[in-house]
Amino acid sequence: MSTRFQLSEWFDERLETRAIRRALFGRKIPKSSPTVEWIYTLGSVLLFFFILQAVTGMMLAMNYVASPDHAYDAVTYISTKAPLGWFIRGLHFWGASAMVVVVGAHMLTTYLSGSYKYPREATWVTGVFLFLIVMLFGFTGYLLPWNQKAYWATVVGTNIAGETPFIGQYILRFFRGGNEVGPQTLTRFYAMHVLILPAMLLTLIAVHLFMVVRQGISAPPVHHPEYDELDLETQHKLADEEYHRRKEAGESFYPYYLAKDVIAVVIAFSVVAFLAWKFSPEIGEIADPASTNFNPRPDWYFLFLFQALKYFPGSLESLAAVVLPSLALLILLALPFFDRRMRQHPLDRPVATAFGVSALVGVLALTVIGAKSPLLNPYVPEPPTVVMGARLFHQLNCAYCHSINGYGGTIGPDLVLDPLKHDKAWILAHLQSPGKVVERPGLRTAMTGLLPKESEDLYDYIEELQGGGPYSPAAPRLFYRNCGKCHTVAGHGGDKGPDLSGIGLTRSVSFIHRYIEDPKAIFSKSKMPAFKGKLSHMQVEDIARFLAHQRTPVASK
Amino acid sequence: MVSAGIAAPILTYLIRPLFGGPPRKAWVRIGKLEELPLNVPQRLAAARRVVEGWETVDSQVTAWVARLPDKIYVFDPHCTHLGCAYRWNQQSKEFVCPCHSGVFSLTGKVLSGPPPRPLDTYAYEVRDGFLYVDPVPIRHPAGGSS
Repeated sequence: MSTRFQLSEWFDERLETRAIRRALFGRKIPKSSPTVEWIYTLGSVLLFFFILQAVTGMMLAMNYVASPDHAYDAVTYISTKAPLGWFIRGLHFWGASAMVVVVGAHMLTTYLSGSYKYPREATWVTGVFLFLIVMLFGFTGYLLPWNQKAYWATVVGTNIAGETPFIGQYILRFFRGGNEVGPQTLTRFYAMHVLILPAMLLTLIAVHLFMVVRQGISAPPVHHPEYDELDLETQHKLADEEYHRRKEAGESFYPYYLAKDVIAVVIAFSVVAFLAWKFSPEIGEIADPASTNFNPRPDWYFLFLFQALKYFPGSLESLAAVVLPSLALLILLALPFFDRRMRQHPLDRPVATAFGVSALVGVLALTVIGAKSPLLNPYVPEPPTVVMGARLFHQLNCAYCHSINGYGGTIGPDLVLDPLKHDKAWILAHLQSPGKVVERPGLRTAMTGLLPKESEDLYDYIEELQGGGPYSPAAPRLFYRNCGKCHTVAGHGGDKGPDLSGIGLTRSVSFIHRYIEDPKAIFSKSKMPAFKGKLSHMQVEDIARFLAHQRTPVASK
Repeated sequence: MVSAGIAAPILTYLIRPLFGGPPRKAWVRIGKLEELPLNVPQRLAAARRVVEGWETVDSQVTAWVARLPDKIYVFDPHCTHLGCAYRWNQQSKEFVCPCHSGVFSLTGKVLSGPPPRPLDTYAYEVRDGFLYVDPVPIRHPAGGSS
């Protein structure tokens, strides 16, 4: 006797599992065409994705901290340092999108085949709630990386909930845990995402699956024009009889349908694994509530709502944001209770089919238009080293000595208003050990303990503050074309005006900018022509930034 | 009774944030008035430490300030539609929101797009030449300007 057999016997003796196994695996599935048999696998694929999301989610939670101070760093760590973290996050990210696609397809086929009708009304209702929970998973999970995309999507999303008539502001504050999106929102969303929603989903999946197994999978619809003349009770009776006939003629779930489910799951996983491997989800920039150069866009499955909101002005806003989606949800929930006749075939229900198809086309069209709508803000990514540098500046309390735009300490120079007077090597040495290069009491022993990479980041941040940050690749050409006849930089150019190779050592970018625009306003005897009107504001800024970078000491004539 | 015993504290715990009273006035110095150019709104920011839940965080107060010859407007930097951060377009001389294409005038009036009301404003004071704002948005009725 094999061990496996002994073990199953042992369990059977105690728990009578044979009946359960027969109900789960021995149940017959109504006979249908091969295409429909593949449609039957959608539910199993969905179940698989839920398990995938749960397992990858547990792995991510091991390295995640739900706090604005650490969330972004934690996700960056997972995506760049943790062994295969990028792949696990990719699986979770693409798994979420795949789940939305499959849940949509599952609902659509159920709707078109009229499978929500007697006797499966309650199965449909639990299915609609499951769909809602999947969308809520997407919404709450979106905030967790705490990047710009996450932050602004949550600001807009919670504001949409805030549009609910009468109780909107309460809902808004319930989600946010206060008036603003902040630390409390993050922990609330995290708790919902990993505790509350999974508990609700598990319970509903159990109920949904119990009903599916108990009642059997619905048979593919067939034409029944004669049903129209019968009363509802007779229709139910005839439908039941026909269903049992077709079920008896079908194959059992194990092994025939289970094999198909396994194949579908393998294909679905392969697609998600490929996407995770090839297209890692972006980390983006850290959330910045004060930023104005970001283009908020929701994830693709909310794009239709994003686009629809543009068409509803002012007072009709709550209609588009809350009333219509809620109405659509109510209609879906109530569908099996007002569409009770047993006509199931899509062609026997032209109105319902046309409604479903046009809703689908509408959502798809809005999604495409939303995805293609132009971005109003030109995307100017902040260099990551500058972002890191800015954080280090605050962590090391550099503001005790240095000010930024006049705010901060006065012991050292202002990092925006005063020009940098030293070269890179000096500044890096100062960052490592301020007291080594600056003779000041109290600084002599100060050691920052910065890693070399951190010093470089901090240096980049200072450069950025000076306006010596990013200038466009066109800036040198712009300079030589407009100023090169009179000025020299790095050995090239004319000698009518001063050599500017070291201008960055003595002048800040804002000074250079103002000087280029109108030299006489600063130095009345200047012979240089004003460039205001000749060059655009952006071009002047570009040249000013380029010049602020020039820090080669020049011997005075 | 047991259910009520469990539900009551849970509901209080969950729903309490809904009924936070109006925030106290907290003036923040945001900039020097004379440095603001006429008719070109500036986005000003100032650091502020606030207690959020269990932690004290360094947050930023930002506002768009439009200095007109006869009046100063201090706008909450969020679009009145769904809260995105709008920006100033110097070419068209309008505030433009990148989310759902809301457009506002220099005085905060809705020019086009879905925003339901003019830009929200902050109360402000001028003391010793410095502009102080109280960053609590004040709503204005639809149709008018801020």
